[in-house]
Amino acid sequence: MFETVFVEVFLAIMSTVALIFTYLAVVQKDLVKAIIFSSVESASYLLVFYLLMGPDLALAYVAIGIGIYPAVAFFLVKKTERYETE
Amino acid sequence: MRAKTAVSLIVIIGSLLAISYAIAAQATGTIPQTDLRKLADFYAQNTLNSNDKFLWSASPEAVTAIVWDYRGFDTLFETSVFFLAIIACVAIFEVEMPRRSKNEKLAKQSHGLSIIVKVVTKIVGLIIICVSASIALHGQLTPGGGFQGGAALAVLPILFIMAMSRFALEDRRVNRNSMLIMRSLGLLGIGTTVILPLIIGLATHNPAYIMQNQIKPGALVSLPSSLADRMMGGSLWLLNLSEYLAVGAGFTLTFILLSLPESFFKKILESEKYSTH
Repeated sequence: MFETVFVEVFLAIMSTVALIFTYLAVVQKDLVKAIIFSSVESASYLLVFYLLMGPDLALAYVAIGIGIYPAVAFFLVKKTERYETE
Repeated sequence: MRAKTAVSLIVIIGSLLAISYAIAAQATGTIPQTDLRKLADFYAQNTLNSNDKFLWSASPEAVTAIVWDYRGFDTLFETSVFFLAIIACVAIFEVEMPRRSKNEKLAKQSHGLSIIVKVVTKIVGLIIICVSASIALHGQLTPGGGFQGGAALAVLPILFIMAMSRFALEDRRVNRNSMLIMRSLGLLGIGTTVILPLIIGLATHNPAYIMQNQIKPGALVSLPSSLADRMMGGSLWLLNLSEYLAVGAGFTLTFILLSLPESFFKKILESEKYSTH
């Protein structure tokens, strides 16, 4: 019983953290910061997937969400502009 | 502007509270679920059930068994979509790769970040290779598989490009051509494993299905389920190995092409502009 409650509370915290960082990534004008916020969001979803008993999904997510996707986005920012303008 | 922010915050917080209430009131059942659905029960019962070999896939990892055996064609077509995207990327960057001038070759050490970062990157690189290989090649035993392992491996070239330069990869023979060859070898491996049961069936005069792993009623062909007392899961290990090579090389190829500097493309575009007029 205690374990289930712990898992549920942890899931709630992690998905809220992910939501907050998603919002920050959307409103952030500095795109490098936005990418970092987005990968923090991926990191918290990673823990959610692990707790929901999807280790296969988590393994793919850790490489793509935290490694490959930010790298591709960084390449894009480097080739275009760092600051979003109106 | 402020009203817009307030509205979006209210919408976000409102939906958060609504979803939280629904989950807390157990609208979706307990999370994580404690009881199995019928389909999940079927896989749990049959994946490693050596009493009924018409339904088993000789692997203790049900997810890999579903991905490459029970629902194998889904994964096959997913892989082909992924590699169509990679091929499109290679086709767009169909240019002659820039070569290093002699001065740059001499100044090799001065490229990139400090020596501490470079040494740490090399150590981490070794760890990444080991971890990704174990994720991919133990895919039939533990969580993970070819795609996960390949994606983990692809983090290595990113680190090398960031810490040193693209030329550090080229010094280690990781360039466009070698990655194209490795990717093609991986895809060829997947293709061969898919038609391997047919070849065995022709040789032993048995009917067989495409992408068959273990024996099925009316098709008594099966790929080896164990090798020297290690569980190999028949075709699962071969498919994981091929997918690992193909995905790792495919991602690396994309990163090498993406890391070409903008000035290089501008030069090409300008020379084309002058040649057409």
